[in-house]
Amino acid sequence: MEYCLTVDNLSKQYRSYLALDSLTMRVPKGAIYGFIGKNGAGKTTLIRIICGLQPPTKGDYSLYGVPYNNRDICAARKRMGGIVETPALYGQMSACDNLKQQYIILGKPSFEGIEELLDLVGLKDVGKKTVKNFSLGMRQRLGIAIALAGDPDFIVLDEPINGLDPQGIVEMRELILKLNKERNITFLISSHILDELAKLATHYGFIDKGKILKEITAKELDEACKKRIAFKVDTQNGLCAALDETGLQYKLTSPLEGELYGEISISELSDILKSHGITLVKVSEKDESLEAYYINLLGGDSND
Amino acid sequence: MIKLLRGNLARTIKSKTFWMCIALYAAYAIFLPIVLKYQNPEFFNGTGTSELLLATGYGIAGFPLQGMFIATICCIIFGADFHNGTLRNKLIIGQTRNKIYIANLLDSLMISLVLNLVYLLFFFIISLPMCGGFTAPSKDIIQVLIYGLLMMFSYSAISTFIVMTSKNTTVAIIISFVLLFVSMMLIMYFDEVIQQTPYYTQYTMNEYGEIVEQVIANPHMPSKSLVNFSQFMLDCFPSGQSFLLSNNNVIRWQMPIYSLSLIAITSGAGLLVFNKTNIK
Repeated sequence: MEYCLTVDNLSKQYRSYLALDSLTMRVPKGAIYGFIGKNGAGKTTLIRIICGLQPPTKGDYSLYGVPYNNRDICAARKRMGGIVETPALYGQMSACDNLKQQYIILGKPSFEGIEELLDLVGLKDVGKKTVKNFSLGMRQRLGIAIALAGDPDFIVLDEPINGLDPQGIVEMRELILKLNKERNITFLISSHILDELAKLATHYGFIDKGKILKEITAKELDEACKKRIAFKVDTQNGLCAALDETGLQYKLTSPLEGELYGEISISELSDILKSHGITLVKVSEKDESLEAYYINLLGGDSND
Repeated sequence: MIKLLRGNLARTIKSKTFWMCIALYAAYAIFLPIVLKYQNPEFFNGTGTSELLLATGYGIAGFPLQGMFIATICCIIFGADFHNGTLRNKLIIGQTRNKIYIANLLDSLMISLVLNLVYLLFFFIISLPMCGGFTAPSKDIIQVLIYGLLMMFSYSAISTFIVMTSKNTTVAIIISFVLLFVSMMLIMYFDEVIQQTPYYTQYTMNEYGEIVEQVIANPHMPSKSLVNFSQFMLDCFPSGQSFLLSNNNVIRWQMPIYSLSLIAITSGAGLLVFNKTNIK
């Protein structure tokens, strides 16, 4: 698999505080990587490091296979865009002037494409209004336009939906999905608004106390979280035939216990089992969300 | 780096602070000869524009006006990158810290140059009709122009160092102004030290009513090392140079060497600190 970002045993120490502790992670190309963790878990620290704002204390990271301490890292960074914490904008300038400034810094020969970018992020009609008078949602969208100015194929967004109204959240989500699908841009999105991230991400990385607890694909997470019925029966004779009759996927965890994935009423399941001479001894429904998965991963500690 | 410099210049041109400082400096260049003319009309008899330029210390009066303008412009323009977080936009796309620092330094040098040119332009517009053409030796004029420009460049390098290491517009402006004020006080003290003479003449009247001249050792004569140190401080730091240039007659050959050294030292130290800074 090709990776945009690989991080190996990365540590960051601020005086006596260890913000990142031998963190290792992989962001595959084309993914929307949801980076999940509590406040102070180390999400923003990692993002600052990979954006070149701060050096790591120990460990390595590579962008497109180029190690961070290699001379070619500057060329690799040109393929990157990002918003760290808040969108970085000149408040006294208009949206167009902010983009022009970024175009100049990028060394673009002309300002061609600025109108299209403003249109893409829904800021075509803001005219000469200065950025200091923009709403938070407008700033976020302009921040994304600036991140897109260099035609990047990897964008890092740190808490992009913090403070947005419901309409703004929907627009931001649609924009990210559109860019991922149409331009094949890889996203690394840090957030602790898990429900929203669950609607976007193709991969997840869970961080706590500066360490990655788990990396998982959305498919794997769906498997882990999907609605299931855990059951226990009195005999294993005819159990598989009875479970096949339900038409649902199932997994036997022991000769007398198992899980059924999908929706079926308990009385219906009981009837099917009875028709095969099996008695239902114990049954429970399980329906895990990303949030529940995350809390379980943290061992029940959800102080966010 | 050219891209960063272009970006900086585009922002400088759009900066209201920049144009306000230009306007104030132009006003200073216009009013200085007019005020002098009305305060001291005898001085203008036979004084050419070039003499007036030298006599006014090429606009570099003892009060470090240019230092204040340069510090204000640099702190506001470069400080905005820290304040708005736009420095992140530069670093994320692969611009190095060295390039960012040097581009800012070059921009601040250009600001100094523009301030100089604006001063000269408006000074000549007003002075030429009042005083006529150039009569002072061109060597003296060129010397003062070069020394003055280098002095302003060292103000630029110091301002760039302060804003790039303090990472905050307000803090940088306060530090710059406090430094300017303190250096102005110190320069006055150093000047007093170097003006001291080992002996002075005392005139007394004796019992016959005659005036007697006596050469007396100066009891407040500072040590030689203090005199040398004071002279060095006056020659080296831009506030001191500004003071010496405004006195016109005490232009010393060491001044441009010290200016260039100061630019090199502050830029080297600034690059070192800025490269080790954690950006948020």
